[in-house]
Amino acid sequence: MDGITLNLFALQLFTGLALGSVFVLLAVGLSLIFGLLTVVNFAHGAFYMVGAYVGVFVLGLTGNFWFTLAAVPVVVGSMGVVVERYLVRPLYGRGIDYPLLLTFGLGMALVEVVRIVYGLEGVPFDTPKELRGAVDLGFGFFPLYRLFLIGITTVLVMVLWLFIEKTSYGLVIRAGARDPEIVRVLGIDISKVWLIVFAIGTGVAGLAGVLSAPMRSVIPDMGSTVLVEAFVVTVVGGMGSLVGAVVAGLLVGVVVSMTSLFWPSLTDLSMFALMAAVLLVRPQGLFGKKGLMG
Amino acid sequence: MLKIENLNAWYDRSHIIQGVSLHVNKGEIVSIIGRNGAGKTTTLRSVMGLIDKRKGSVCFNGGDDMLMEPTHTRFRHGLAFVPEDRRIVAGLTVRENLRLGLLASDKKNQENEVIERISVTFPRLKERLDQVAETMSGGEQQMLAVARALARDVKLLILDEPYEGLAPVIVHEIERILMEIRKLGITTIIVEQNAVAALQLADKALILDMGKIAFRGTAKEVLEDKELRHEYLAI
Repeated sequence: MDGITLNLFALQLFTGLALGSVFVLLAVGLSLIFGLLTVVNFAHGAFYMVGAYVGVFVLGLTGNFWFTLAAVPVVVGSMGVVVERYLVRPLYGRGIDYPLLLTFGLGMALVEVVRIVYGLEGVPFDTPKELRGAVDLGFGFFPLYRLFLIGITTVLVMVLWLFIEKTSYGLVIRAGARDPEIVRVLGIDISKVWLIVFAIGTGVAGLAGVLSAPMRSVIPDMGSTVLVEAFVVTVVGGMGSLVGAVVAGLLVGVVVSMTSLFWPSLTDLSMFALMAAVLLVRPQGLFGKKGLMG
Repeated sequence: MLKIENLNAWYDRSHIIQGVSLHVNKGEIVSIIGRNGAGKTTTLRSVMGLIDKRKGSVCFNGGDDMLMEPTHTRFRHGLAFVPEDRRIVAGLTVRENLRLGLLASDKKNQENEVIERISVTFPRLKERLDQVAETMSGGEQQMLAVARALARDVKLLILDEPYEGLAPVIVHEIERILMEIRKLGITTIIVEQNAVAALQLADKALILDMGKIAFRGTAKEVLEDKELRHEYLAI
């Protein structure tokens, strides 16, 4: 471990936070959808992948990265609306395994459709001009794009937090996650709220996809690794907890990044070791509620 | 005001409610009593649309049959339901729980006025608006559950086991509140295990047994008929 300076350590910490930002974006949606709809969304990775490809398409059409960034969550979120309304909704009340199997199949179908359209080969996605290069953080140079990723995730999480804590919709979301029946008894059509939450969750997954596109290769299979990572983060943070998704996302990012610095051969294993350790001590996850599944 | 005709309900294949009919007039307090498992709660839940398999008809305030409509439509017609166990939403404050009762009403933006109005009847709640509701005592939670149901304009209030698990002194307090609610012209249906307490308030009584109506009459008749009480209420 010779030659690891404090500066290198700090840089690796930032790399971990950037990696963790993508995890946060994925886990927030996965966790919200599970917390409110009790749907274990196995298509989440596919929505992430579709986000990247929609990004490729829109960027090719307009040449404007910022427009693409705004358009992708809207397009993928709209897909989420259709999926919730016509595929997932008929399965409510039939147990947790029905929507799980449905989204699992849907995920595979989406991957195949993208394969048919774009082929197996990766599609390039350039880092936008404005975000190329590196910035001096005082302890070393850090890629500007990754800094941007940390920034946009921070803003998005704050907006989501304000939405959930301070608006009427957010109140219904919080109440509906605990007791959907009383929400209906009090005259609120909770299915509308479920639809919105599913759309937000999938839209944010799509956004994570397009944001990752300049860093990871855009291939039809890109969602499957990410899905596993997102589930690890969600389980570590606690299913259904927004705070848990944020904390666990950053934690997993930093743990993976630090492991790759100190014990590179254990990098892939590190997040699973973390998950196992957390589950041994707190089976409900860091911020999860006990007995959520039953 | 409320006409329930030939109500039937099933859990899977078990036929729980078998042809229950009930007419409630404006301003009345009606008690539905009976032993544990007689079908009292299932009757209320069917009326509220919370039991999937249900048949019959429920007309409210001269409107069309609403039995098969989704649950949330009932509150908008002025039919409020306070389920068993109070169902105070964990993690929310007293104010947020009350706000939840306002969201589906046209008074959504008059939260402070509504809280002022409610605190005339429920002074304790006003002192605790920003407290996490589940940390209050059982009696206070029950008051909150009733207050939340009354946050919008309500014509009929349905209470399932409002006295459950409460000390006698709190039961009296809730009784006082129910009498005040009656003065406001709100019709009430109470389902209770504590039959004596429920009957003391009520005008009409309905005794359920094995999912059917075993007796229909005035509350006074039940209180005075030893045999009836012994056979169906074990008191």
